[in-house]
Amino acid sequence: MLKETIRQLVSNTGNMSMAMGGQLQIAGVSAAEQKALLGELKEKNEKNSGYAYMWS
Amino acid sequence: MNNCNPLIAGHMRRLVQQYFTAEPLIRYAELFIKDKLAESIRFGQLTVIHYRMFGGMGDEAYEAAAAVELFVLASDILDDLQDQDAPHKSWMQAPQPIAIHVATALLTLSQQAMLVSSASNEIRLALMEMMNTQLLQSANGQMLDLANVVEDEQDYLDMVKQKSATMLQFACMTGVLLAGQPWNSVVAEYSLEIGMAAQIQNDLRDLLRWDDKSDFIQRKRTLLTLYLIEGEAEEDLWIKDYFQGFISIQDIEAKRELFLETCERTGVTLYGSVMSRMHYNRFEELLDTIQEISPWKSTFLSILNQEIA
Repeated sequence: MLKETIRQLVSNTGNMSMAMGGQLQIAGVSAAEQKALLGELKEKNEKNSGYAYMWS
Repeated sequence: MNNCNPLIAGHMRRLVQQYFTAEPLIRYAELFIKDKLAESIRFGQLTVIHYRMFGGMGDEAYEAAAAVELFVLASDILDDLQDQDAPHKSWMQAPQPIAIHVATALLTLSQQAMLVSSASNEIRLALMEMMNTQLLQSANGQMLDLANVVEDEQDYLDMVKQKSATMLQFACMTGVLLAGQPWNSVVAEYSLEIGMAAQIQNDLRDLLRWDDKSDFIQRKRTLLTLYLIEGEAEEDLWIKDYFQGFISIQDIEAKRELFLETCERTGVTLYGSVMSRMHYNRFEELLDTIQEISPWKSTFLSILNQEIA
């Protein structure tokens, strides 16, 4: 489940660093969730401002 | 697509001049439209681009786009009145009975504008049926949001789909139907995805602010506040206590920095971004399945991602 995966990631600095570098296998989430999560982590790793689509 | 803005704006003003006769109604409507035009008219742009994408060649798209924008303006006014925010807006500075009246008059004007946007009775009927169906769904969603009755994540996603995403669907599908095409299920689905992605981004913004529009301070139940109060860490229990009314705003008003740090530490900001991105990714996948509209893709994406004033 995505929420639990994110809670586990942020509570473990080592896992988070590996995930940001694309070196951590992420299980328990759907393909769509994994794609979005990896996209967001990649941007964090590259110090981009992250996904910022905004419609207000 | 920005070059269509003056045409849409011109139709909005012309409709006011044509159908409103009471001087104060015209004056306030023009004032509110001016305020709206200073911000963005992306819903109208979506109507125009979908009309072109699906083979429409005439100028009728601008009138239909004006109808869409008049409805969006009316709902923005009512939304601000309900939430009692956006004090800088002209409709929040006008006497409230007048603002309510102008908003309801604009709702009717938007329907009239949609009705006269096509010469074809078949298309007019299809447009009006779609418009009312979408807007009734949106009204249901808005009620659920106002009543703050969301219990869980699925409730929230259902509410957003009704309240916000149907507005995007309305704008896009107006263009499709006006071009003489039937309801398009791919457009229907991708417009909902755009709406979901946008609403979650808005929720992220409203989570991280610390004023009277803060979803946390207002104890508003969203995907993100639900994530926060589901947390089990002892150091974060004050968040749950505040949300459940056990402590007051005075007890938390000095905790802004702690709150922001908590949002980062618990992963709620990451969760919001990922959820929004997931819906946006799905939109892009669906967009790519319609070959005929590929020449329009970059313009379409630029409408969605344009900066607003």
